[in-house]
Amino acid sequence: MQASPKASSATALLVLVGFVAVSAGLIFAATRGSKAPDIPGLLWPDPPVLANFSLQGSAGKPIDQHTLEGRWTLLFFGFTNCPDVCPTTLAVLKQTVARLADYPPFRAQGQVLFISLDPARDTPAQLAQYVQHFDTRFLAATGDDAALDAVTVPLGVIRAKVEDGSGGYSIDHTSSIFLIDPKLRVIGKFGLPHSAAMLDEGFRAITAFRGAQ
Amino acid sequence: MSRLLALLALLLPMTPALACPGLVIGEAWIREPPPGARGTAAYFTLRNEGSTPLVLDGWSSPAFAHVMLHETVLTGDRAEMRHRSQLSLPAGGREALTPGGLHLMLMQATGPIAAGAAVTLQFNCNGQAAQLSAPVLEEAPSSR
Repeated sequence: MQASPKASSATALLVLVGFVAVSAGLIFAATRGSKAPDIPGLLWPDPPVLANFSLQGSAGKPIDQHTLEGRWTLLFFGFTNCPDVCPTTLAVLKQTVARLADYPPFRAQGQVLFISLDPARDTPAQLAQYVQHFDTRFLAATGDDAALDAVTVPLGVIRAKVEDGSGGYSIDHTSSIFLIDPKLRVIGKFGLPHSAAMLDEGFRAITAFRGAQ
Repeated sequence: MSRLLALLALLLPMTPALACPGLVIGEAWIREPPPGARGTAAYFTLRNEGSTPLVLDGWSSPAFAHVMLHETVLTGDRAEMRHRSQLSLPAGGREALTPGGLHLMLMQATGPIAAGAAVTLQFNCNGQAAQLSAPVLEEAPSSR
């Protein structure tokens, strides 16, 4: 039996409507980011956004939200009297930067920022010397409690002074490395143990994903 | 040259600690403290090849005023320092001090600590004085 011309145009219309509906759904899902891709470390959808803040950088230069705008920033918190975790992580960041040197988004817009949670002992000048031991391009900053809170609270970063048993103190702190995108969105978070391979892959995957948004 | 010496020191075979029969120490190194840092950490592996249990404690060094056995422990994504009073190694037991984990915290250096130097670490092994020597390196040996 042959289909009447009327029936076949109705079928074609149904197919077309179905195609449009599915396409619209796919486009909607992609643009809304309703389903996060499986990228380790990616905070998506609804990444937290950094509010305004103002810290003291080296050479009297302030480090604030403008320092991060338009850049991809790998951000890590610590203190210079930290014997194990901080130098270990900064050494990994040094290797990560070397691996990303040929990756255009990092070469053009990448930076590393170390924020000290110990302003009582870490002066901006001392901090600059400390981070530049790892890489001369690394930035460092600190500030008083209120200034630090402006950065740490939105990120959920915890800091707690603990006695070290010799009359001194250590600071227990959040040890994740955060990735801040050019619009100040906290788009990635990498927990311990860190490795340059993991950070390299995470950075590339997240920047590529964001480029498609 | 200093880097070469440090590397050579790393390649030496596992060395038995003085006055501590059965204890074999390997892969010892100390991270060169960055400028401005008053402390750093020592890392090494321990193996008890003897037939009696060993208890190690009382860590010190002529190069640092304050030495303690610490462990970095993760609670969620928060790194916490835990003091460990001693290390117990049963016969055949092993322990590894590695970055981000168990380590000897070395604070208040008594002089400059630069890559290429070697630092003596002293401890008690079942109550007897013992020691080991660790090269100061700019980077972890595994990252070379």
